[in-house]
Amino acid sequence: MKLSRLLACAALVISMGESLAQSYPAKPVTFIVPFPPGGGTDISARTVAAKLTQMWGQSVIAENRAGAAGILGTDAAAKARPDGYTLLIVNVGITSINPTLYPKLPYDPDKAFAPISLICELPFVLMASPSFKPGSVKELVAFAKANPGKVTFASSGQGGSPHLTAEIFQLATGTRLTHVPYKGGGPAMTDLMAGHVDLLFASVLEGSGHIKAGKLKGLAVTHAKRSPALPDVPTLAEAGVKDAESGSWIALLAPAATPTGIVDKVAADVKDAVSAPEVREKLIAQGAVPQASTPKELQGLIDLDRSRYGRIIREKGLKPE
Amino acid sequence: MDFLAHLGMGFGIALTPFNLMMALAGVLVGMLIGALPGVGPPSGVAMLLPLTFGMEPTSGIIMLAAMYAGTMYGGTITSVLINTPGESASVVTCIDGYQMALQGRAGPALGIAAIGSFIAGTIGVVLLMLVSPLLARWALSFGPPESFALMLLGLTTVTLLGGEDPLKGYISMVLGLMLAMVGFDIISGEARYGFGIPEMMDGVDFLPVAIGLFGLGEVLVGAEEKGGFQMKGTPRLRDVLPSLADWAKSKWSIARGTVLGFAVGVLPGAGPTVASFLSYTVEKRVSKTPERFGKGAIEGVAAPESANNAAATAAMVPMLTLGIPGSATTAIMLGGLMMWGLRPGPMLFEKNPEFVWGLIASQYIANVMLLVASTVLIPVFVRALRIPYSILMPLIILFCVTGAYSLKNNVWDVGQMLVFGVVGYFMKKLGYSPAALVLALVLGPLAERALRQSLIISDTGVGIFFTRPISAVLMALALAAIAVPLAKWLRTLSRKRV
Repeated sequence: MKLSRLLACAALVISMGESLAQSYPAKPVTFIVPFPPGGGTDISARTVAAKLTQMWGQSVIAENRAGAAGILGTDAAAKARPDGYTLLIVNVGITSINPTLYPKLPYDPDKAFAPISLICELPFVLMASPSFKPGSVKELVAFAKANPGKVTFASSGQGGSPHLTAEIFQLATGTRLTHVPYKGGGPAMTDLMAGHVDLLFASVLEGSGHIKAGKLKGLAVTHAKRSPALPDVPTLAEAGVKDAESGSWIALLAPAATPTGIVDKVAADVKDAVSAPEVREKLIAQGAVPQASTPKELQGLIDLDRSRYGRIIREKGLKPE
Repeated sequence: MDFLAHLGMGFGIALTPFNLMMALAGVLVGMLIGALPGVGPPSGVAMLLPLTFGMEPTSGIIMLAAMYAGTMYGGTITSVLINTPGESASVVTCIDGYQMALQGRAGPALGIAAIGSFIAGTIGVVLLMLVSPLLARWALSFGPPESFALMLLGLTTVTLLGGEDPLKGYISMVLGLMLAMVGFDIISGEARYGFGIPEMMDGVDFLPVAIGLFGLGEVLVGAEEKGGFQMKGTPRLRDVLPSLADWAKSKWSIARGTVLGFAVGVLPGAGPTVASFLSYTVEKRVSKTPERFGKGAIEGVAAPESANNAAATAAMVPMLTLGIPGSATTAIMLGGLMMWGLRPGPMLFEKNPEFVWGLIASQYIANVMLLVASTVLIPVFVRALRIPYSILMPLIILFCVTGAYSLKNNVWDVGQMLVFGVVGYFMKKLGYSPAALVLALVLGPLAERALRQSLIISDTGVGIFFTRPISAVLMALALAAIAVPLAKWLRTLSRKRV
């Protein structure tokens, strides 16, 4: 008797889940963006949200919950009702850097979220100040080895993915550079241009205009492939540096207990949204590489980057900013 | 001349009915956003950005730039009327602006701010047009050592920010610097005074502190005094405009504010807030009657209000010439430029002249609209002060709470605002300067970062501050600013002994 009742209950829950997925979304959906408005992550989120609004006939709202390296917004999403109406926009920092950098997160990074889909990848480019002598990665490595600790590199902040990329680069090339952290990419770029610092890893979006105008030297991109925005700049591998691939990406997650039916539906729709020409165009204009994925592929990417960045954080004994 | 032809083309673009409408809409929305505490220019621009995607890029940026100018003025309204800064660049306006309102002179305070904003904005656009490339180079010469020297100079001015006793000014500053220490260490990454609370990781945000210290603090003090505004009759337009005497007092303040604001606004990272503080202290220092400051001196409103508008215009110099955002707001505008498919950077002037000159021309127009709109609306704003204090007070508290919350959609900031409201009450009772605390909280993190960056870059330790010309001059000024009052004090002390 009890068993059949249990089975009936289970069947009810399952069918409810399915019908939920079919009628989803029945009301406005919120994307929590754990960063301030106007940044690259925010703009990508809003671009995809606008397309989904059009596809679903329901508003998809991007809500900025910035603070504490994205932890505040992420925590809000972790504690939201897992009904598919609150989803979370993340970048590589949230899923693959914060868990190692901040041992005491208010949520469990392994259990709090279910991956949905990747949205885009954001490759970085290594740039040098015009007054800095070495003009290629090879010359840079030779120069840095001859002058250990003398070459300075700027970053958008301690523990951010551009900083960790520079640490990976040092490890791969056996060089020792001096880190000068800034608050955000803009001020770092200004000081690089003026020659107050020698090097900077930043997104292709931030760097390509200056490299094309000849105001900065582009030494290498950190992606596996050359960037369409900078066809003349070699990849790190082409420049002779192995195992230093890096970069950021933007993805969509759901609170862990969100019904699988809804997760799969959203994943399929994000894939359509990201491959729509107008969305692709907007993402590419930002220096991003539009790229959707299945939930499983996204989980793989999260884990891969977590071990990659986790290793460098532990080896260098880095602390967050 | 080449640029006249360009400017003519720019006006041709900006004066189309649609673009005029966009500029007017931008100014009005900007004033509203500026007046709401917490919702500052960056979030305002971010909110309006999606609206512009369907438009021509030129119309879009015209609206955003007009809005930016509008917010600079809108923040003044609440600073003057209810002592609650609407955005960070208007904090310093509270000091004398609110005193003027208490004396029944809210109209002239708002009027001079509008006129100062207009003059500063217009001169700013002329400078933007004529000397952008030159200024861009000046901005680049400001590395970490120069920034640190400038921040240090800014900090030495605290004794001028109200309060009779310089010692109390310094105590307030040290309190502010201590609060600025909260949050992650920028180099080592150690959590400082965080107590394991995630909200403390970013440090103490200064806007909830300012709203609490000024707005709520004032309400608490006002609640025990039978105060209120001295308002007689219905204000008419001619009563609320500044008199000729007001104008005579403020014209040089506006000029100095404009020049200083523009010079500081061009620099990366400094922005309108720092410009407004510095220009206030400059006014007090050059004034023949510095004792009037803090008691409703019109120069104390005119100078910082001119400075923040000039700085807002100047922040576009690095954006247009170098493709680097000069402030949080221009960073978001830059994001907009890219979404419209324009590549900001050194090539923008050559590749998209219609865009750049249309923007410059629309800035002239936005400034005229700002002046007209604010003059027409001032009597309306001033009338709000005739609301009985018993009704106005809860409204101000409501304003403070929503303002603190809307900053980051976070209740933590509301708590922070409430705590500092109580702190503000005691500071006011005991004669300590809340403005000095806020200034230290604004400049502290910037100064710390610049100091430590300089020391990393330097081969000669602190020598780096004295071997580079701009930094050496600024350091000398800062040291003099500390030494001169100290010497005077010692002299009076020794005289007393004799």
